[in-house]
Amino acid sequence: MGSFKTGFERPEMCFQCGRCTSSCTISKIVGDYRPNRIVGFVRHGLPERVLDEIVWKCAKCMKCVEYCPQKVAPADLIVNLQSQAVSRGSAFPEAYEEMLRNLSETGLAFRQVDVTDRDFELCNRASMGLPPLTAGAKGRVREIISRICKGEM
Amino acid sequence: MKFSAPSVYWGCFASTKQYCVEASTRSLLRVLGTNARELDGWSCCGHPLKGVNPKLWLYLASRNLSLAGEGKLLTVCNGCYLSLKEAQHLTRSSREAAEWVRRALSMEGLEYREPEILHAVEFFRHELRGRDVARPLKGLRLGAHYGCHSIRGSFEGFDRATNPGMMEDILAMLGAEVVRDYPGRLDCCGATLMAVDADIGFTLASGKIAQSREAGLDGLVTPCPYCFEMLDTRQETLAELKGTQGMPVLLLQQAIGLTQGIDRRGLGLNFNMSPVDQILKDRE
Repeated sequence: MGSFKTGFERPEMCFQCGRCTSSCTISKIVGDYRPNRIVGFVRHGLPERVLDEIVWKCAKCMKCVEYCPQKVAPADLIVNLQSQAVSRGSAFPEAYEEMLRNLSETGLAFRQVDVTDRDFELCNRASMGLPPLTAGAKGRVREIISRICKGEM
Repeated sequence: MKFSAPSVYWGCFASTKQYCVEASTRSLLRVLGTNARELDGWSCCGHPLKGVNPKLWLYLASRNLSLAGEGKLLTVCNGCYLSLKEAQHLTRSSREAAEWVRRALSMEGLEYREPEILHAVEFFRHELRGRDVARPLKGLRLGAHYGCHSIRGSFEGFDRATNPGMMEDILAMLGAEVVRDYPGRLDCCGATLMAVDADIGFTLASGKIAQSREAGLDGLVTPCPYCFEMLDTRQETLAELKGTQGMPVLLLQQAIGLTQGIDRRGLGLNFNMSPVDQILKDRE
């Protein structure tokens, strides 16, 4: 069922001003993480120069999207590179594997848990006076999720 | 005038773990007399899985939008808000994406619909107009932590992305002494990194709290369950790992609820792990 762009990235518009990197949350902590370089490699047809593991370091803070004068949307490009890495069979963070499992079983990314509050009391939806969850994915929805995950649509 | 009955999209995180978000929101909607509707059969908004499978994200987000129909849809999580707004923006701007969405939804007999997506900040600011507020927050120096996904993105948001003011408006309505700007006000809490590299996440959260302490804030207020998790729930861990000193953190709904006579349990204040008693003691 067709391929189409799911983000708003426009790497072809980049003129390497570097505002994305100067606003980047992660560049300040991880020295070799620089969104302008990632955009540059893609713009010049060298996406393989961007390491699969580095693209997961994005904080998704969207500052690069906000401050880019050319509306390049580097964060969207990086999300796109993440999904390309996954399609190539490259490893991705285990936490997302777990979310995928939860999703295909329950329709939600997380499982309901009991939480210890400040007074060391164990709390859950019922003890907090919350009604039972009305969420969830039934047969047809689970089938669609499964088909999308298998790349069938 | 009040917003007409919105559907509420709770999102996974608020409804499976960060229960104080759902509890305080429900209490607040009751007290404000908002006739909110449940969204039966809702599912994950797809946000955390966008990088793993963008089509999965688009399907899930569009599905929830369609369940809400053409009315108003209130979101109580920044991640959900961004996800739903982006999906709507994409189907509006890409015919291919819109067609794919329609076909995917038709497989469960659902028609693509477009509700008006509301963020908790814009919703409660609107609903609070003209209401009396009780004393609890008077004179407290409070700062807003918006969280990235409430203000930034490729679509038109509810506030100015580089200098928002709606949360400060709310805090002023509540009688707090609002600190309108402080270093790091619009910075990231680090939540996304917890799935990838927790140490970076902790560094970001710790830095955020340190900056708000240096600015002399009595407390931080956030509308987002993920930001709340990073800045409040994890404060003990931050103290252990990064030597972070305490900063009282409230959810936006808790801060509002305190001025509307809602009790601690109704606001889920037993969930706050930050030193909230420091600012709330003898005030309620």
